Amino acid sequence: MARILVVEDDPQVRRMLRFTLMRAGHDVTEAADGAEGLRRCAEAAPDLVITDIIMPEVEGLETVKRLHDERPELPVIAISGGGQVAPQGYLDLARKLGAREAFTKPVDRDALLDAVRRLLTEARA
Amino acid sequence: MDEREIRILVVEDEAAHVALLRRAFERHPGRTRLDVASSLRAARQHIAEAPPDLVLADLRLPDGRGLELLLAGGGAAAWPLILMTGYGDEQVAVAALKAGALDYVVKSAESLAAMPRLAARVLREWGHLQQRRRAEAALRASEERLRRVMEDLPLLIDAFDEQNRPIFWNRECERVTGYTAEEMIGNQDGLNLLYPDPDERARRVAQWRHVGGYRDGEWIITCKDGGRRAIAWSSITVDLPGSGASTWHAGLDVTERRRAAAERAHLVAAIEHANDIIFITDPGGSIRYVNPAFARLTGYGREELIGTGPDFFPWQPPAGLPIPELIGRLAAGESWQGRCSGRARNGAFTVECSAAPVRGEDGHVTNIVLVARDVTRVDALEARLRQAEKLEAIGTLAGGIAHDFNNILYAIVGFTELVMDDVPADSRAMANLEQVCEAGRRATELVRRILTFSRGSEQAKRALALQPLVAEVLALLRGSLPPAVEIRQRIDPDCGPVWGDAGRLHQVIMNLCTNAFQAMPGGAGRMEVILAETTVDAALAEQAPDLSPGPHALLVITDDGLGMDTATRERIFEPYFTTKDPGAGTGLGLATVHGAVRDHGGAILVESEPGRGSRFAVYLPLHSQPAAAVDPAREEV
Repeated sequence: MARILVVEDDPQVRRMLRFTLMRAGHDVTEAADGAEGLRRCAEAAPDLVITDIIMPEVEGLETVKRLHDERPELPVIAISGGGQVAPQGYLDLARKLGAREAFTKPVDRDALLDAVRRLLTEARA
Repeated sequence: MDEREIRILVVEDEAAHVALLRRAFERHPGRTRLDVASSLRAARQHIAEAPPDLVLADLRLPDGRGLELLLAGGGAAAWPLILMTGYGDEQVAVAALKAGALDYVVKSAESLAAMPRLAARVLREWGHLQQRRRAEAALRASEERLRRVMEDLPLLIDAFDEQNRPIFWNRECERVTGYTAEEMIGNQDGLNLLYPDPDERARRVAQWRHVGGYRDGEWIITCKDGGRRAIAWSSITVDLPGSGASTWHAGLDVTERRRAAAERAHLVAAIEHANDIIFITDPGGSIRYVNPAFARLTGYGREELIGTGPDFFPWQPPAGLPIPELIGRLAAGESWQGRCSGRARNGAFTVECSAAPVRGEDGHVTNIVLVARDVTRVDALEARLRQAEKLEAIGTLAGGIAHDFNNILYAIVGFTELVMDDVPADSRAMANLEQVCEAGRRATELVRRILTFSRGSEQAKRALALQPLVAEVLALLRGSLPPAVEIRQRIDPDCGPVWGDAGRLHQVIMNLCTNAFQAMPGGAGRMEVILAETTVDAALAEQAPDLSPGPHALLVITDDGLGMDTATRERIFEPYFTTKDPGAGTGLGLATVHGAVRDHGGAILVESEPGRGSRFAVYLPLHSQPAAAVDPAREEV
């Protein structure tokens, strides 16, 4: 049981992630872009953040970086649908910027939930 | 004696002497007529009216001396004169003879009686004299004519004596060299002026020494103004008795001709060595000249083409302009520029042409000159560039679509999984939802391949030996292809490693081999896989803009299947382009191959013709080759 912030600009994906995480027993806060994500993170003090990489406003990679700068202990999972113009190397970069895990969309549900569980356990340890 | 009447004018004022003479001539055989003038004046009048054959003139006459008759004739009287003198005038005789009288007599009865004999002798002598004079005059005239001709001929004519001094120098010599005859004739330095270089001079003179026979040769002379002119000489040395040996030359100034010939030679060399194609036809279009560039382009020898029409091989001016009409328009004086394509022995070609009529002095079109530049390769390069740009654009587009598509897929799959949580595990709904998930997975895979094509994959490059990769693919293929497919392989064990992603290159080889098999009609045929090391030279690099010169691994996959026409060949690397039946292929196989090869700094070249199979040649830079294959910026990511 944890508070999870989902930063995702695609409303359907955001909604689907919320349902999926809620069923796994988590509280979910949503944000439609990076700027909102950073605000909500400050307000809601989530235990874990799942963020898309390509989003309007504050771009996903910057979101990861700022989150990591502000709360280095906060586990962040980056997910990406692949590059719009440039290659998909964003996930690697997200890892380098502080994301603990990175997944390509569509993300396997079990893999995602496993990663969430593992990162929360690590964070509490 | 001759039957003609001899007319003798006696100029004598003493009647007695006249009578004696008459008597003497009357007794003498032969027809003689004596006319008498008693004064110089009467004599002159008589001579003017009827020139006599002989004049017998007394020295002393009432109005002057008989010799004055000779003076009146300017010393060249048309008749002989015998002077008659009295005693004591002998000293006059010498002057008389000097003045031109042929003889003289001292008047006496005897001498006057003997006058007819003397007259006959004088007339004979006069006849000889006249003959000689005429001969001399004729000779002088002949010499003058010869001299004039030699002076005025439009040829350089000169002559040198045994000491190499000029002895003849005609006007053309003066005109061409600038040296006058006055300066040259007898001038010991004359020869040095013409040939200042001692060696050259010695060689020139060496020719003069042997007598007889013509010697021809071209020599450069130096003119008074320092200019140098080429003269074609013909020389002969004659040894005339008395005047010694002299060498005579007739020369023709060929400077302009040489210059023109040299210019022409330069022009011909330029045309012969030009990379541009040049050919010349007559106004009817029949080929008169082609340069070697033309032969290189078309593969036809010059001798095959000369005399043939311009449609000897098929080639095509732009639409709507048949060759005969083009020729007709050019022959009518129009110029024309345009692009032509054709097919000759060396294959298809495209040229950028410029054709124009050539007019003769009379303004008529005598020839048509066509200059053309081979743009076949430029055309091909442009086509490749367009193709590359198109693929790039498609890749970019695919990347963008893939992102949105993944979100959509994620929503579909994610929600489906949520629904699956809610339905009984053994329900039909569950089975159908599983089909949705399976479709989602397939769609995911498709998107992954689009991303791979658009360079979207994770980089996993390392120094990679291709031999095991090829072996693995071939092993896989052997197990899955029908036995009617013969697989040949020639793998060079020494081919060096490339900097590459094993997975993607595996896919490249696999896709190409699968394609090769699928091109085989009835699933039977022969496929060959070759791996070798090769060096990409500048020419190949130009042909394939993605390649840099240097050592490369060359992977060739050949099949003897259906082959492709040009239109197909140009599109095979486009994503979603497929020749397979709908549903039989994604149309991404070769696009993926293309993307992967390009991402490895390589290039893929295709040769194919319908019914003659296909050959895919993949060039990948060797790892030992620094950098080219590796984009460090991307590696960092």
